[in-house]
Amino acid sequence: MIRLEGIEKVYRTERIETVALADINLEVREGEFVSVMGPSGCGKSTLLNLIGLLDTPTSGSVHLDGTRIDSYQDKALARMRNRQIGFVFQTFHLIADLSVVDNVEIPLLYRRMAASERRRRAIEALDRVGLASRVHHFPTQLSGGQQQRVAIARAIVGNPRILLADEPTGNLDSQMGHEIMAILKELNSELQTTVVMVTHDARLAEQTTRILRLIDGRQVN
Amino acid sequence: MIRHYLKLIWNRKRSNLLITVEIFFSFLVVFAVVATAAYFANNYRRPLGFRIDDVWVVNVDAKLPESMVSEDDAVAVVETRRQLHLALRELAEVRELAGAYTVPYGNSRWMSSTKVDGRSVDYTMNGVTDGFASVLGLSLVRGRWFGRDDDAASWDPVAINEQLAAAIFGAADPIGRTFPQEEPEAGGKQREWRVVGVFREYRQDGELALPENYMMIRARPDSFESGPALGRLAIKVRPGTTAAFEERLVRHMQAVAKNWSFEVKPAVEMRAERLRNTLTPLIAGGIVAGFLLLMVALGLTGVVWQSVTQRTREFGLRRAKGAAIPDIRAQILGELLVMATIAVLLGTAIVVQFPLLKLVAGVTAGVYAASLVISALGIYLLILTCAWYPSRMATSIPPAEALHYE
Ligand SMILES: Nc1ncnc2c1ncn2[C@@H]1O[C@H](COP(=O)(O)OP(=O)(O)O)[C@@H](O)[C@H]1O
Ligand SMILES: [Mg+2]
Repeated sequence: MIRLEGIEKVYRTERIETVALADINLEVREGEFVSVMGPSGCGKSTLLNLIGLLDTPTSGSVHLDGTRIDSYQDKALARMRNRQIGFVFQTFHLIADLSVVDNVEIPLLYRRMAASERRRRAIEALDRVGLASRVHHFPTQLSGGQQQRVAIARAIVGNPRILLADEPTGNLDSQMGHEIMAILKELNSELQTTVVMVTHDARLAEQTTRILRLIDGRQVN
Repeated sequence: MIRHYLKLIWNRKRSNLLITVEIFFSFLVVFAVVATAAYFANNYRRPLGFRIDDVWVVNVDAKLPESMVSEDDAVAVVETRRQLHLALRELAEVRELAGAYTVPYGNSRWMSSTKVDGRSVDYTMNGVTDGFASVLGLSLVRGRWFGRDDDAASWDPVAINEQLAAAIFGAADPIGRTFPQEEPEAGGKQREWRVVGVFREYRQDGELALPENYMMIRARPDSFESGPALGRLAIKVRPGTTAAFEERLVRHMQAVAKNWSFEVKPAVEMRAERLRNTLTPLIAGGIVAGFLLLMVALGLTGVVWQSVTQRTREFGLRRAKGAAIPDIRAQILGELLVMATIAVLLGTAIVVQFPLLKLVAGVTAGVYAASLVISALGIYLLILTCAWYPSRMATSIPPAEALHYE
């Protein structure tokens, strides 16, 4: 389903050149739950950003369902991000000035859809993550774990086939972390959503179908 | 979609209020500058009513004593003046000649008013001899100019401009109609002016001045009543007459009126002087206005820039969730346009109080409306320009980078 071929990503800032990823070849099959592990700065986020079409590789190619998509124009990429991919960030990235339900609706804004339908789906997604009672709260009124659940609701509201989670439990205590993990596992098993999750937590990684290890921007076999 | 953005604007009312207030004050400043410029531009494009090419103006000082003038003195002045007019007509260079209380670009002003149906109509007036209209090329739209035929008349003939005719008589034909002179005489008898002609326009103070109600009354150089008031001469000289004629002209007049003094000036010079005097404060004001506008533009750019830049992460998030670049730009511009519209409406609500209160006399509704539209468009343009670059910045980096923007 997702295939990366000969990926290299180099960040150039002023004088420093950082090779964040080198020679990455990777295939994620439909319905898999893959976890990505490795020390800080080894390129995990970079990898997830490339899969999530949030950035472009320096060289190599990204394929989705056999089609090469890394060279698509912004409009087509935006459509892919909107329809195919749900992204969960370590720092939640909720918009503080919007209520929980308005935050969850965001991906649906960029589709042609009636406001009432948007609202209905957003509440459904919130229900799935157990936050149906917090619809009109604002993010700052929620705990970290609740905020991350809002972010997951936002990631799944558009029924994406792929869910990408970058250290979704990194800012949470282990109790909340396990709750988040349970939600992701449920999405994977019930809706067959393909999940790629970056984590530092070996106990969480153990629960996934496959662990991908990175070190210094390279895959460990 | 629109509801979502409106909600966002509302929920950020504190920081958006700042932007709106900034736009509001910018709008007021821009409006003040534009309205002032429009006022003068509007005056400038209107008909002046007279032509001053080849017109020379003579300031005649009859050296009358400050205090009471004796009857003999007055008679002497009138006689000298009559001879002066005759003598000037002898010169080949003099095409036409008129005496007047005041001339275009002159500094004196004679104000009067009349009562029409209980309301007071103010106007500026001038006493002129019969040749005045011809010297200055005034264009008559109705009736005739006063002249010799009126010598025997028992009434006081006047010519008025179209504006005054409309103010007094409305749409009716003013020719032959009368209106009361300002003050009843000592005997209580109310004298009247009788309209013999209507001329298009006569803006005594020149191109930048507002049109006004204007009336010309007939003065005679040989009449005791109007004689002493004719302190100025307007002379239409032959085209091509050089400055050298000035000296000859003065000598010629001096020969008739030995003790009087004369100051000759081409009317174009008077206009230049007048423009200089009017424009100097205007240019100073213009420079101040220019700086104000610059400050406004910089302030607005700063505020808009900051608000867009601060939201780079939000835009990264939206793009990660499926917004295309045009969606983001539309959002940025849309939000700013909403705030700008609120500010402009607020500004307009305040600014329209001015003509209602007649705080700014003489600025017409048209000038006001045009200034409002121009200022509003200017503000929108400024905002679009201010927002353009930061909105490009916010969308030129990949979403991954925008999400980590500090
Ligand atoms: N936008 C960027 N500009 C420059 N260097 C970057 C940027 N993003 C990441 N890097 C560098 O690339 C390497 C990999 O980063 P990242 O993928 O964030 O690591 P991880 O998520 O595994 O901690 C690090 O050395 C990091 O400093
Ligand atoms: Mg990371």
